[in-house]
Amino acid sequence: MDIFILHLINGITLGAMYALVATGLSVVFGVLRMVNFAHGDLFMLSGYLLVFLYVEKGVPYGLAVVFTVAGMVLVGFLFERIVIRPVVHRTWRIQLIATLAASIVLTNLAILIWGTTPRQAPTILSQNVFRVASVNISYQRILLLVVAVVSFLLLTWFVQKTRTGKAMRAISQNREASVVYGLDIHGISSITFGIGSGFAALAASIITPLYSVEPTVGAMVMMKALAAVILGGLGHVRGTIYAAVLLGITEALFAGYVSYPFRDAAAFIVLIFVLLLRPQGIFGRKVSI
Amino acid sequence: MGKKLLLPLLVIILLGMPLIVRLPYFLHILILSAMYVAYALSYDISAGHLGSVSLAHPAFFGTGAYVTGILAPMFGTPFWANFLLAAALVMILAFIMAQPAFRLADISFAIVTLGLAVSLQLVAQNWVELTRGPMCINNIPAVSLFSKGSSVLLSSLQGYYYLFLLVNIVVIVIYRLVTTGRIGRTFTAIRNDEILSATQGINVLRYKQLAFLIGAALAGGVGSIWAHYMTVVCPDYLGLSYTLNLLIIVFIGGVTNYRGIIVTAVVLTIVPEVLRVAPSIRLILYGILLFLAIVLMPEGLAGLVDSVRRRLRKSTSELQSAAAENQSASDSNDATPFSE
Amino acid sequence: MALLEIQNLTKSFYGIPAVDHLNLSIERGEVTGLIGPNGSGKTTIFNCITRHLESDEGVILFKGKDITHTAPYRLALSGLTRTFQTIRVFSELTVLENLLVALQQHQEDSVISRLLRSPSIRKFERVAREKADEALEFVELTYVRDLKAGHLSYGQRKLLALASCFVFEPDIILLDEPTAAVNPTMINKIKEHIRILNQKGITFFIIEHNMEFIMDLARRIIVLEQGQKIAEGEPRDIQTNEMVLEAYFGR
Repeated sequence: MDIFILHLINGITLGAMYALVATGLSVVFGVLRMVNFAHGDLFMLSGYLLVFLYVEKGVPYGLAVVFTVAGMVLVGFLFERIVIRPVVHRTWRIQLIATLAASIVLTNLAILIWGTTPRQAPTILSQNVFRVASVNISYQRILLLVVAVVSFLLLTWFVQKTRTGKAMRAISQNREASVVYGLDIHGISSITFGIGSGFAALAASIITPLYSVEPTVGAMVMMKALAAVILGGLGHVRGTIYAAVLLGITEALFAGYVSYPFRDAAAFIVLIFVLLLRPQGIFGRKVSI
Repeated sequence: MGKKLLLPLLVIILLGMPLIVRLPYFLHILILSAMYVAYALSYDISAGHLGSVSLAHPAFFGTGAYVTGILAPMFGTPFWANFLLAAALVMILAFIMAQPAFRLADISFAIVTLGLAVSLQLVAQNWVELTRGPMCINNIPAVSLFSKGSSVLLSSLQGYYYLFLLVNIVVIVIYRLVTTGRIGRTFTAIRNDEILSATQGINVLRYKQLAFLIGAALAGGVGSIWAHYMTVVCPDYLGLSYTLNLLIIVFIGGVTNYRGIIVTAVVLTIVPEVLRVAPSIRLILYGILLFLAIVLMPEGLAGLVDSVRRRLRKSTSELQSAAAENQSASDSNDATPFSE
Repeated sequence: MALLEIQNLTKSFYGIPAVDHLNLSIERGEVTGLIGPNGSGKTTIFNCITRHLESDEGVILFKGKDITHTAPYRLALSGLTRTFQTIRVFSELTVLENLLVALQQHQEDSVISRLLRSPSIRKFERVAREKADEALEFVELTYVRDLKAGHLSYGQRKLLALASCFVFEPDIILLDEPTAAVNPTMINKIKEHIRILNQKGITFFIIEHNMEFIMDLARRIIVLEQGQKIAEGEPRDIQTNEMVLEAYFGR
């Protein structure tokens, strides 16, 4: 039983991590109707930024997280301007290739700058565990859960209540009409991208102390996040979060009871089976021409 | 006149290459670029001509390599039998993968193929009894024409060079057969407008799967020969980095343009080796080039050459200019293979 | 037996019915007009027939067979095709190839023989070319035969779209606003083409806003409002029908 709870808790924290990464993807898809295949690289860059601030410059962890997120929001603005804006009105293929190209560049820039040796950033929280019955949970994982929940609540508030959030929803529902009503699409796109990048940074700042960061760290996280985004229904943020948690739990249980080496395939097995039944994802609406 | 001479000249150059290029290292680079030509063309059939940009193509190449890597040492079968077997098995694999993947449209298709490829790579990494996992399969026998015993002639570097020339001829012939004539015409129709295609009686899904299977089988065959040549197969054969290389070659060379793809595959493989550029710097440059190519000229370098040529022709003859040029200007965003 | 029969067809978007329990039938050899104010559900009906939309309820019969869930390409192969409001052509294929690619789908050749370019393929190809040339002559597009369709003018595209429908001699063609954004000379040409094709035995079902055009061409008009059929009959009856006038002009 304890083992099961351990797997479950692992799964939930894993799910929270995927959810944080996937939320960025999903918000961007919701507003811009495109998948950013370099999102995992934004996650990776955030990890390095945290290591730079926290490990190399000795900035206190909390502050380092804030700076990382702020810095990555700016990177997100820049990324949107350079990579996304030229392809936002093009076909999905061009968007796919362009963002993959950006991913190639970022991954190899990281290799050039930091090499391929993994960097670590242990914190007091990640080194101490919290005991419930006979189950150990590191405080960093609890922090991850708390941050995930709080940030989703903040995002919901932002999208529902603020002017910008309402504009984002308007654009996601009807792009043409939004232009007619004079919404600043470019501005909103920038902000959306900033939010997406910020979520990736938040995820990376909490997760890096638990694992480590290397140039290719974004790839697998990104793939799980993509699975969650598709599973949850493209552009359906809440669905994405549920799907991410579902994938996290499935993966942890799969790793515990079926096969540890094949745990990374669990997400894709779930994805393929669900899509065979519901091609539009669990929460997505069927879209016609 | 000039055009008629070009082909024989090309044949002579290609055949005579091993006589000029003596350094084994450079011969290896030539073989590598020949492999990439065949590999990229096999990808273009489905990704270019039908626009099904799958991210699973290396899974087919890698599986083909593993099929040979596992079976050839066991049975000592001749290379052409391995080639055919790898192609056939990979085709079956592609058929299985196509079933869920082609139910999905656009970006979801790409993502699911990526997921399938990653899953397959995990199999290669973790099914240690079969694939030896990260330790790789070593000591794959060199190619042999008949069972038992490798022929020295074929298994020399020169031999492999000619073998890959032959593989390229096979791939190019099949590529041309499926992308021209009645089938090619149907491919173009589907690429231009799937909905219209269906209302005219084209079974879109069947053609997409056909292209996918043929491309996969070819990649499997190429992978099989590559396994012989390298004598080793590793899980990273199935990995994302190969996908990225393919995308770079096919999209810079220009989708559906086999000449552009061939030239790009050769140039992009040879230049960095000659200039001795570090892999990460090379990939950064290629990434930037790929981005610029897809954003500025979705038809690839070849498309650029075409449009320059068109412009030159226009300056000499004003005849076709006005109307056609106006049209093509307004259409250039819609009519390129990759806009819809 | 009607050629095309729609029974109790219903399709809603976000809970609002676009087509509401509609019944209609079309006899072989007819030219039928489908008119109604914008948003009355005309194109939705077409999309349900050709299954570009999945209908919520109802049955569609074509030549007596249930085609409610038949894939669009199968419909085309069994003799039902359509044009679109926004004209679609294969822009990278030449005008001739646009017709050939449609024609060849209706010829009984196998993939293998196509790959190997067997002699039978050459025969099929020759037959197709003859038919295509004939069709191009008919719509007077022979002079742009080898031009890429993407380079055609709007009117030329419209004619090509029509040609690639009738070239494989379907039983019925659904036309979605054939005269939209076309100049008067061209309208008359299109009208003449449809008439001749109809005499040759092709049935037409036409969505149209140009009243003069459709009243002149169709033998029977169906009027749609808010997804329901509010009138049906010969053109001159429709022109004087109170309900129709109300639907269009609002009392």
